[in-house]
Amino acid sequence: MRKIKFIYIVFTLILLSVIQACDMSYLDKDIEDFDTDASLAIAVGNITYTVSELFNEIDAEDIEITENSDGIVSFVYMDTLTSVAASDVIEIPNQSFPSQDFSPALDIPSPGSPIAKIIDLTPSPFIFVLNGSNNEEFNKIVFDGGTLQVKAESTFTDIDINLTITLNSLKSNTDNSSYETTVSLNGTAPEIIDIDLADFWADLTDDGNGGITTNAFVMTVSVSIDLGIGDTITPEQKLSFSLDMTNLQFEAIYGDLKNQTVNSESLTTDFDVFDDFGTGTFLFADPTLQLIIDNSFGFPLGIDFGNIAASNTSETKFLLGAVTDTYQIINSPTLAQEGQTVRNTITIDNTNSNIVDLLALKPSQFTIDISATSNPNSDSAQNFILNTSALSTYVQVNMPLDVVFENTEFEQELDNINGADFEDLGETTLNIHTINTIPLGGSLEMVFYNDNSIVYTITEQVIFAAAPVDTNGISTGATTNTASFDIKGDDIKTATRAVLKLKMNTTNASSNSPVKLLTTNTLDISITTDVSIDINNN
Amino acid sequence: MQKKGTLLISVFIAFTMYNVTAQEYFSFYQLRDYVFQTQSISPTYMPQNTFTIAIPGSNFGVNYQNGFQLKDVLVENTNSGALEIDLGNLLLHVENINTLKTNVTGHLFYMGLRKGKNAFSVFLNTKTDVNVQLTKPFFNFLANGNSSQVGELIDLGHNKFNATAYREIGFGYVRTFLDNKFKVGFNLRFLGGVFHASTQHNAELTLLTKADTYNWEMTAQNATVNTAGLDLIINKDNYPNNALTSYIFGNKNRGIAFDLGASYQLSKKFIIEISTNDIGSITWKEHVINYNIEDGSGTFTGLDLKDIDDVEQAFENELSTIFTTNETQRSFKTKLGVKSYVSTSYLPNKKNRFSLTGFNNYTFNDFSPSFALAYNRTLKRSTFGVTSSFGGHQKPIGFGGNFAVSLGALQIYAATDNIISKVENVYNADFRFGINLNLGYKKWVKEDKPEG
Repeated sequence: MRKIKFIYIVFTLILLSVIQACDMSYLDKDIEDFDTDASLAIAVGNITYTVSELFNEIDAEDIEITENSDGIVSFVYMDTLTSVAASDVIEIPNQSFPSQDFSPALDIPSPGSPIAKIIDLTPSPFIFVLNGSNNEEFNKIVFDGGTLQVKAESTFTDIDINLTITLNSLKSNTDNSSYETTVSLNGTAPEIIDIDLADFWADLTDDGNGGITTNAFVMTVSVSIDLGIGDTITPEQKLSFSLDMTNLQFEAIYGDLKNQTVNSESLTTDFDVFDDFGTGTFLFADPTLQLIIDNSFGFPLGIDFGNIAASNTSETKFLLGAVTDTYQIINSPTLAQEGQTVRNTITIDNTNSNIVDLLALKPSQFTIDISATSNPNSDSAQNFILNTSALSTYVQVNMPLDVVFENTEFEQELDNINGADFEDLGETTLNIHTINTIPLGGSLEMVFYNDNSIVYTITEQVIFAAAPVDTNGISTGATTNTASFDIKGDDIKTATRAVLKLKMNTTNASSNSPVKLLTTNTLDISITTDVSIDINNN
Repeated sequence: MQKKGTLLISVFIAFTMYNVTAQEYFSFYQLRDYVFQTQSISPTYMPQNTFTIAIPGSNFGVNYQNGFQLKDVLVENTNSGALEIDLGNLLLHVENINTLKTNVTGHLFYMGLRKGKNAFSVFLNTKTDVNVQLTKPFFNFLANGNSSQVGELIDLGHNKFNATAYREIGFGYVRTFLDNKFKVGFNLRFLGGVFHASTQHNAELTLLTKADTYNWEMTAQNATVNTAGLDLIINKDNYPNNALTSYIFGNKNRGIAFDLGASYQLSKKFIIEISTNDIGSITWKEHVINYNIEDGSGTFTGLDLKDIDDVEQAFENELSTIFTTNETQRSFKTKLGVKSYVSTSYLPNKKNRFSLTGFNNYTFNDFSPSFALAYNRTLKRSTFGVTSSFGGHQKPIGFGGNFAVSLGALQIYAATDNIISKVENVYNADFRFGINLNLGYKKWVKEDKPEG
């Protein structure tokens, strides 16, 4: 029995010692983040850019990218410069017509008239001449507002006089009848009539004697003198009439408006096409600047383009050439086209100006100071102006990419980069394979910054090579290129921003030969990568 | 006789010279008739006592085997002393085919009865098997990605996974013939599947990275992962509170399995034994989800980089154009991993036994047998022994031991194939332990001795 117990104890001890022998201390150690040298070779993707898409991608956001009739991709920049309203061109000044008198030349001395009687008289028409501010010859004015004040006075003391006043020139908007009213003068106290002109128009062509004239405002008066017994009249006694027009507003003016000066204020348009481009040549061979002027004034204009300038931060260049030597005529709607707009397009190109030089500045601003004069070629004309008439000017800069890019830099800043986001990015090789039929090559440099300190630079490499061209600057084939960039998360983990620099050169740029970037040209990009996988077990 | 013993010892030493591996429950196997639970791995073992009942909850076994060591993948940094996961180092230590197999067995109830030449048993067990087979190309892909294999076909198809948890209730029967020289036994087991996940047999997945474009040419065939019961855990919020419990204790995932075994005493001093276990299958019908990649092939050429807002979504969309995935609820059948033992023993006298045992696990239909040389000495109320196991896919020899000792009716046994010193060096580990109540011990010992 003792032996059994002994064996039992021995085996128990063996069992316990086996369990105790198992050393698990290896697992007491800290376990570091999982790190691996594994890397994936994978096709990231493919993209094909047309020229239009390529320039859209580089963020020239305020330009429209289109094509011209030759299939050349064009930058088109449009802006509305100004709109000149009718009130900016002409206004009818207040009119204060001198008093005109009518003296009946009656002589009824004391003891006066033995009987009571009515004496009717019809004086000659009164003609009041409107004065424009610029010697305009008005035929007709349709009023939109204003007041006409008619003042009648008498020196016939104690004699009642009844007047019938007819404003022949003032026509009712309702039935074209002339304005007529009656007034009684009792003694020398004047009578004043105020007329709201909003309901009337003025025919200013009647000279009062059956003739045709301009600016004439005709008034006729019928006089009825109510003579009582004993009333006396001397030959000096008279009637006086005066007119005043104030706060005149018009719906339309017709006539010869002569040479009105139309000055738009000096306009500066921010031209941000080149904002993202840095140094280097950017030369357009055949750009045009079109001024599109919509004119609904009823008179032609002559415009002086001598004060158009382009400027960048360091230089200003004025537009010169034939286009600035003479007035450029802006046509207008005829009377039959009243209310319509006539579009005038004035093209400024390399045949009539130095526009190529202006754009070569890579300007950030255009300053356009337009000075215009109405009726530049005619001394007499039948013009009109409506209160809705306007002169609207738009600018359109067409820049067909018939260009020379020589070391032209495009820069784009990528803000708000959080480098820590890339900390897990292991050793990565980015391979960019391109097949390019665009006669434009590009090399890329990328600089990562922590605020203003450079933390990593991806050195410049050609990422797409310019395609060959024929003598017309048109692509004749494709070039292929492969660029590889190495980067890892540790390199940029402290980056807060990055600047991407794309330096572009057109084929044969060094000889200053422009190339045509066609809508059919493409840049095929396929991206592959060898990226190491950095997995954090946290 | 001396020559035969010397021969066995020589073989033992010879195998020790090679880097070979140990395998499944060899030491436990050597306890044979002394411990009734050995019937679970060899149905031919005849208990030496009339009645045995396992102390509930005290009998269990765990087994773990792996093609590489913990220190191969969890490497100590010589500078910091910390551990780091090093897949590159792991790649240096893996073979073309690497398997990881684990088994956890719990004997919830075990009762045995011997009557003359017959023995009967009734048992209730729970078992969990996890078997993973990973190829060297897979590890290479994990460690290096595909960058180092551009232009080469990466065949991921031979990587397999099979995990099953089930319970079994069954009975066993053993009978001796020919004056106890010949024994035949079997276990019949009724299985109730609980959880399962496995890759479908003959699943194929290949990846070829083209050298010039890095395009991925991919093919998939039979790429299905079958699961049962796991959704109750993964998406438990989608089910009522008691759904999991109800499922575990009553579901329609049923199966039958049996074990067969036989032994024959060639002479007074030589015995051969053979057994094949886990012949059977489970049909999974309840809470089944099959995750499928439809057969096909395609090339991933990268994304169309125009107008991409969400790269991850774009990547998903692009892959979905190459492979279509879906989920189905088709029932499926899985075979248990058949395991077999073949053993021959030399008994120079009553107290000593030398044996050579071979084992193979056919879970992935592979044949890479492992072997064990064992010596056991039997005393009046105990037996104990040592084993040296080797073979299988690779790895160094394992030394183990076993014992069973009785104190009155109480029997305690334990066995291991590997006496573990340091966890980081372990390729294989197993351990069996149990406490039984044996009545009528040794009653049959004399009768069992065959005439020599």
